[in-house]
Amino acid sequence: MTTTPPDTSQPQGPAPDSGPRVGWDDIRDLARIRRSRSDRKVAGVAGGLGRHLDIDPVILRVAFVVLTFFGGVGLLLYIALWLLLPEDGHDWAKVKLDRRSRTVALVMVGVLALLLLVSNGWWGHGAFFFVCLVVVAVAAVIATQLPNRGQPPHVQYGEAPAPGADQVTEPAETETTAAYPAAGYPPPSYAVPEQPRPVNPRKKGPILFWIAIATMAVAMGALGIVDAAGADVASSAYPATALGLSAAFLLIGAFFGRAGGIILVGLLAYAVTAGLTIADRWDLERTVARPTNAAEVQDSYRMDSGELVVDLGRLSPADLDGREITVTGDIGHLDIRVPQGINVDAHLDIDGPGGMNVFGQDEGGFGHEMDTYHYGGPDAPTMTIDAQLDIGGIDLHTEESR
Amino acid sequence: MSDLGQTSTTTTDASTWRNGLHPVNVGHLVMGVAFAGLTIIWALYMSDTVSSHDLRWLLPIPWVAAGVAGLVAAAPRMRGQRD
Repeated sequence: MTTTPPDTSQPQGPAPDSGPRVGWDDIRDLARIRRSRSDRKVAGVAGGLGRHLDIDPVILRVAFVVLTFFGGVGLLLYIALWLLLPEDGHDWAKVKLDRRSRTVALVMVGVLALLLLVSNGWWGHGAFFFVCLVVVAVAAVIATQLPNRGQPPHVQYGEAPAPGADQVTEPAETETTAAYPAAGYPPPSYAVPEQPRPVNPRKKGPILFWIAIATMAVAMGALGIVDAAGADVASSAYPATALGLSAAFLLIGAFFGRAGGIILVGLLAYAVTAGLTIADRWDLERTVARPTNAAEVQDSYRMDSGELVVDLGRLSPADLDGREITVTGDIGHLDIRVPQGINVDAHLDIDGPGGMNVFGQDEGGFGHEMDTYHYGGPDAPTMTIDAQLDIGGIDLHTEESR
Repeated sequence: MSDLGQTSTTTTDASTWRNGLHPVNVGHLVMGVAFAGLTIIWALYMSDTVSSHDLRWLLPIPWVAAGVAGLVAAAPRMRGQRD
């Protein structure tokens, strides 16, 4: 063996908080950033960034949490950095990129985060966010399953059975460092010497992730057989099965074994279940109310799901003068047409995710509400419209404004 | 012989089981309770036991339950740290 014997007489390096202050050039060298192993709450991203920027990681942790409430940017950013940043003492992250590519990727992540931040939150550009989330999730799964490329083999702490874990770990660490002196890139000058990772008492027992995946495959396959045999199985039953099994394995994993990764599966299953449940219950029935005189105009129109068209376009503005009309629905599309030459004082409200088009102006979001006034012209009569929907879209327009 | 082997296997199984037990993982507990609740609500909704109107007050319940479960699970640990 060419390994260097451990020199236990040397100090283990400077304390994390000591040393010179970080300069601008150091900060710009993004490839030097490492996830901290000693200062971590989740994956050491904030700890590593804080060290790189020479600021308190608590500030960054708060920023991540706050940004999560602004378009989910904090969550995405954290996951992306977790994937892209290597840990202390390593040159390869979960997504294995060389220094240059990693720098470019980090800049791109920053730009993407900025774009998301200036967009309109979780649901304002929901599809964009979910595409990003799915891409990051898939990248996470793929990256964590890829074999290590050019990375030193991970040292198994406590390989030699000995009562004192610390005494065993130090020689193993020294051997790793000495055996790969030229592999990859030199560690950053400010890198903290690799410390023995404290054993998490909650990470004991078998890894449940693959057992959960196998169980989900069996359960969903069985459901598919039942479906094929002619039973009436809703399409949302498949992801709901995955959701239920995620719950079961997480509850087991809370006390026994390691359930890492199942939360992500559960979140994806939840999103798909919600989408397919809405699709399952989407009654495509289209209801059209088209009054031709003032007496036929009702004060309120309602649907459960589907599309409700309230076409007031055949009435004269005078027929609607002073009328207050309420249009409500649960899931679907409300299409309200008003005649030209009338002022419309409208209040539109979507409780859940959805979008609205009001006299040619598009808006959307989660729990979106809008008060608007449409000017019909001089001496035009005025009507009031109150439209409420749980999930879906609302159109309010004249024939011309559409 | 066979008795001895059986005893040894049983002991190993029990030991494996004990080795897998660990202090409660609050994160997994919270998400497990939340997902279980959401699954139950899905089942109730799809079986027409509850209507879409009821979802408005039903959907937050799993998250409240999950949060309470997490706080209850974390409370002894926090008390231990303070001591």
